[in-house]
Amino acid sequence: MMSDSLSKRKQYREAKEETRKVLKHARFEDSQEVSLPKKRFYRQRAHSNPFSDHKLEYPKSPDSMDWSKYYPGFVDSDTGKLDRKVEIADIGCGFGGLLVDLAPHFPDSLILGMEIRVQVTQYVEDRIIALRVKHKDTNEYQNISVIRANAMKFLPNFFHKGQLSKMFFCFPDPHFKQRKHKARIITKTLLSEYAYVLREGGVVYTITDVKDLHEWMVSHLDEHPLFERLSKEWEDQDPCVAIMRESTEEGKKVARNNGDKFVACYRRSLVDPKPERLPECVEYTDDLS
Amino acid sequence: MKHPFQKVLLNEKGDLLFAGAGQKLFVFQRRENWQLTDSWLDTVDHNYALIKEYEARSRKFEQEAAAGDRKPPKVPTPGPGAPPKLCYIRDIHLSRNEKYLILTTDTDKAVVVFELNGGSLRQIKRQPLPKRPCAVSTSLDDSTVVVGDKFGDVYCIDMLSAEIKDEKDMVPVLGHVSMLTGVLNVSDGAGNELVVTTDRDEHIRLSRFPQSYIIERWLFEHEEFVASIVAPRWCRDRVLVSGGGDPFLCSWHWQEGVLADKLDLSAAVEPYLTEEHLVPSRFQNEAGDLKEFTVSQLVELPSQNRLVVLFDKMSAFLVVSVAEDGKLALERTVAVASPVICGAASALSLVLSVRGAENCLLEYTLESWTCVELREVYGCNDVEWDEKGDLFASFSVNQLRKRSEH
Repeated sequence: MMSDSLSKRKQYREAKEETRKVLKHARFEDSQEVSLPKKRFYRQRAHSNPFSDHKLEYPKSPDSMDWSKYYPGFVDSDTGKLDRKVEIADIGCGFGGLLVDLAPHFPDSLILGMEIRVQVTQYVEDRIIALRVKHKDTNEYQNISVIRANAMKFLPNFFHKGQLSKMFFCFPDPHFKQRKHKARIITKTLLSEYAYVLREGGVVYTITDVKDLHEWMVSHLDEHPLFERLSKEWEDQDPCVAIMRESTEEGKKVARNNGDKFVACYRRSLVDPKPERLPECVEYTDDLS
Repeated sequence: MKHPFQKVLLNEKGDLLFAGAGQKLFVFQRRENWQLTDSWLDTVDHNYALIKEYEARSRKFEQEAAAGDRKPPKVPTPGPGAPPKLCYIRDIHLSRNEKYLILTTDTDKAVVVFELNGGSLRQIKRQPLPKRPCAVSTSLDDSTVVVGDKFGDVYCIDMLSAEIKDEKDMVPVLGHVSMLTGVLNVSDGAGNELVVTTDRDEHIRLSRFPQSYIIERWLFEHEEFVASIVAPRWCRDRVLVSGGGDPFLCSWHWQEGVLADKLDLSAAVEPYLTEEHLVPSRFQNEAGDLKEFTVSQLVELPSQNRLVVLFDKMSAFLVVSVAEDGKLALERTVAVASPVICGAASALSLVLSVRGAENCLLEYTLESWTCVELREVYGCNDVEWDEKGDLFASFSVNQLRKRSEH
């Protein structure tokens, strides 16, 4: 038999799912009241295996992605398509605290949270729906959205080369075990994909409370030829760094426990070195024929 | 039962044939007929990884023995219920200048490089990798072996230097978060080298080489895993052709990043689908007749400007022409007596390894598509198969299909 709390949770989720179906892509012309979701009904195991074949929906290519249902407030009424592209990505957005706080700071930019856990993604969806309804007079929170995705596998399916100006990696899964290190979200090999979707001059933001993970991320970013670290002074004047420190759920939890927060920001470097010439290879092709 | 050849390869001229059966490689040279000139057996223990770990622990124990009275580490032995570990020579690859032969092994997950001298082999190096290698290419100048593994990482190995790195110290030059199915170095015709990597998540990635951290572009069209990718040399560095779990082939103007052509193979293949192509019951339709097929290998026929398309567990192959602009056209379907395992081609002929009890090696003449059994070659195969289970399941690529329910 189902325990009381479990069934309550189930009922809650079913009710929310109904609202989500109706409101996710709506523009809220009619007046409705939607309550903010309660986190306790969406709890899910903190870890997810990025290597497994989840039943994920992802576009075949960035061109085939229909963004209009994620940002209905930015649909051009003539073309039925978005009038701008997603520019800021929060990779592993968790419960969406950063998205919500970034939204008013970048009212003209589209911000996307990517999260691999189903229920956590649903929480963020419900949270955004509730916020949009609540602020429907001012049209706030139309610029944030969330998608369930495995960013480690499918980032290039969503974004064109150089599309993003900012990528956030806030309190990523530390994967402490040596043999799990490939599952970390910042690795030398994955950084090449982030460099691909970031425009030149775009910024990677990282924050963690795990010193070992911070050092790992810094060393991999330092080693990567397409990233250069931004200074402490830069961090101090950047509004996103402040938001990142204060707004995420993890960030608040760490602050409550008086834990440390380690920040590192990197710029996608402007230099895109030309490949070395290989004079022999012309001669060599002749050899073959 | 004799172990079939799971991998065959011909040199350009067609006078050398390399064939792998289980853990043994055979080299044949064509004079009047095919003669066995050399062979090589992978003798590394199946439990290489376990033994290595045991040795490391033993060393640590000996160093620390004075410090405490801990027990010495046990010799690891797989339990009685452990499944038999199948070890093969997975890949056989020739360098572009055909001076070197490159194998990948399952035992120690290594890349083995041989120098070729006529029909005889001289081992140059054996470099173990952290994960099982599953795709091999060489740089355009043949100085480097580029190898992709099941974990999605790609490593560069110096072809000729004697230096062997500990697998723990190897650093990947690029990585996918998906099993790699193909690695291919190509030239853009203007002096730049690129590396093409394909994976189980439908991706085809083009990166600069050796600066492989610079991704040039991705080629999007596949909806299932990519199993095979080739750069037909008669298309002058302009075209790639790819196939895998999808019912179609794609050809690409890869320098522009656009699809050049798409060829649906369903109608041609339909008559050859058997019970072996039925979708597993959990994913089957109500009538129970849903079938699927997989392109397992694309073989270039440079003397003909054509590709041979091989399929998983299918008693037929297709011949597809590739025009210089990438246009694909189905030329013919050739029925084979038994399901095809793998194939290789030279300027003269196509050699197929097929399933069966005996004489499982066929050689096709390219124009007439008639074949002879290479009895003398298969007769030299002395590798026996005595394990239980379906031997051919381990050569199937269809199992790369994603079927997650969560």
